[in-house]
Amino acid sequence: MRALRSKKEVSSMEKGSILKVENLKVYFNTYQGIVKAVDGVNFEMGKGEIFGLVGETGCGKSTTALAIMRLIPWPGKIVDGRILLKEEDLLKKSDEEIRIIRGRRISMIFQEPTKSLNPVFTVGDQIAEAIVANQNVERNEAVKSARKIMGDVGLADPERIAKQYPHELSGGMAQRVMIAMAFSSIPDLLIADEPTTALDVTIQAQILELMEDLAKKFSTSVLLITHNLGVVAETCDRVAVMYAGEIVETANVETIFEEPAHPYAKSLISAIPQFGTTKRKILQTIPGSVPSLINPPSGCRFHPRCGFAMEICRKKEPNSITLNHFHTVFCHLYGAKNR
Amino acid sequence: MRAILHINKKVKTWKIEHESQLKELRFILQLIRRNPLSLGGISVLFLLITMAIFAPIITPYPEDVIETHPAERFLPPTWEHLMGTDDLGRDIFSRIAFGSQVSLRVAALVLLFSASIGVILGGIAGFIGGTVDEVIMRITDMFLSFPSLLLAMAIAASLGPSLTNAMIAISVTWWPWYARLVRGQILSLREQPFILAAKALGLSRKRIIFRHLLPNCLGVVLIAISMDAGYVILTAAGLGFIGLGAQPPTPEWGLMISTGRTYMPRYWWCATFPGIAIMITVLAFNLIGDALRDITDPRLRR
Repeated sequence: MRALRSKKEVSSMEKGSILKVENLKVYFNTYQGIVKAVDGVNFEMGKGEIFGLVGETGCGKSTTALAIMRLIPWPGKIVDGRILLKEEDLLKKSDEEIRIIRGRRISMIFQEPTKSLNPVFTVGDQIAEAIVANQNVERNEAVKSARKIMGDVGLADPERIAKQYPHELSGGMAQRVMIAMAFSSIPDLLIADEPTTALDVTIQAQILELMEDLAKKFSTSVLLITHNLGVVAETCDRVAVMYAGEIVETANVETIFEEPAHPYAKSLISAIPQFGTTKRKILQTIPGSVPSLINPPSGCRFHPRCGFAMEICRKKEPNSITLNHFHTVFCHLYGAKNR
Repeated sequence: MRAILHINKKVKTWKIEHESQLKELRFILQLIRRNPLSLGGISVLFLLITMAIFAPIITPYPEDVIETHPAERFLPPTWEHLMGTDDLGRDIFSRIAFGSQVSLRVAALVLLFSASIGVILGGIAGFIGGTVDEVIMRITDMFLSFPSLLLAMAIAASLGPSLTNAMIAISVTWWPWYARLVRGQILSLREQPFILAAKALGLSRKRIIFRHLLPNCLGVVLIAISMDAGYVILTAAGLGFIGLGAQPPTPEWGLMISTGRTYMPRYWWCATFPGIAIMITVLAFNLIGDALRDITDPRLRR
């Protein structure tokens, strides 16, 4: 496992909270039934913090991100909850207000960078377009800013690259372009939905480092969505683990890796292949598969696959239990201890 | 000596500056090499356009568009009259050259008109969706349920025989196809990642439609237009043939075949040469359309 950065056990939230998601519920009304993709998600992010949202495919992390941007596609709907960006509830804003916030105060980058760019315009054109749309500057100024920020994201020879089309760029370069567009307006929050999943491992490290540096430079908070625990270990300050539409555990990154509390989180951590062991070990897996979100299991959604399941797990949904200052878990195993 | 070096440097910098465009050009040339027939199509089109533009200059008897020479009827193809003369003694070669003007004009106007309407309506239907989409699509359904030639004939007949009315009739039958095409394109484009990314950037709806959605439809529309050009000309000739399109003495190819038909097979040149002209033109546009489709096919790219 990669080396963890040593951090103090002090939450970055002491600098003030940037994003607060309260009881977010996103349901999709499909012909097969109502898919409860996100069912009561709560978390909080501090200023300048890199917050990881981890989970398997289909657990609802991307949906949560899209909900924050209010880009949930039909037939999905945000049915409940509040999303507070610096005390303003984004769910109460009009379409026009949200459109202004997008790209300016909250930016988002996606998984496949070359496909996230318009194929018929040059890259420089598109960065300039983003700057014009979000910063109310003239076209020529925008072009100059675009060149400058292309240099900031590590694109050598911005002049030449600006004239290229998206399909002519490598994945890493395209992602740098997306990052340039995302940071051009110095947003409060950057949502990165699996930004490195489609990239080579060597490029992954560069991109993550770039995001970290820029986030620090501009004091931008980052919501990093990924299923790769290595990425989490490398980059995040705090982490929330999601399963089947719910958050099961939230903690500092060291805590999650060293003392995971929730059985699912424990299984995830122990499923990471270990290098450097002398004996051959069998890879740990989690038996069973992700449940249907139309008819999720009763009580705790993880109970069918949980090695520690008890009677109560089947009957009642666990409440949030605070283990210590910044470690919360949703599991009946810890209920009794905290009474 | 220094001048040569200076020019060399200028060429080099120009090449670097336009690297992308040069790459595109080289790619297109390569595709043409791979599709040699398309070169034939392009040459024919080039020839056609030249003939249309310079008809008054290059034809030996430009006055034969209007004038008649009854004394010289039915002269077979000779060096003096490359394609012979028709029933009114007019030089067929000159009339065919001027006919290319008519045909190209018809194709251009019809396609411009119907493509504009089709793209706009299709774009609206695809982007807004819902009831607007349903209404527009049902209207296109109505038009598309008729064979295009029959519908054009019916409309032309009710409007009265003239070339302008023929153009109107053909445009009316043609636009639904473009509306369908563009709507389909937009529906599939809307799911693309770059549209979601554009929305995430906070771009306005107007920007997204005009800079992100419609430009990405242009490729398909251009291919459709180039392939349709041939068929539009064919339809116009068809209408001319049955007397609903161009009227005498307009040198329209379909009309020429119609009048020349009665003199087959003795004076075969009256109908045959206009027929060959139509055939070559339609074939040329087809080949060009094929080549364009290859050029824009994403699977064949790099």
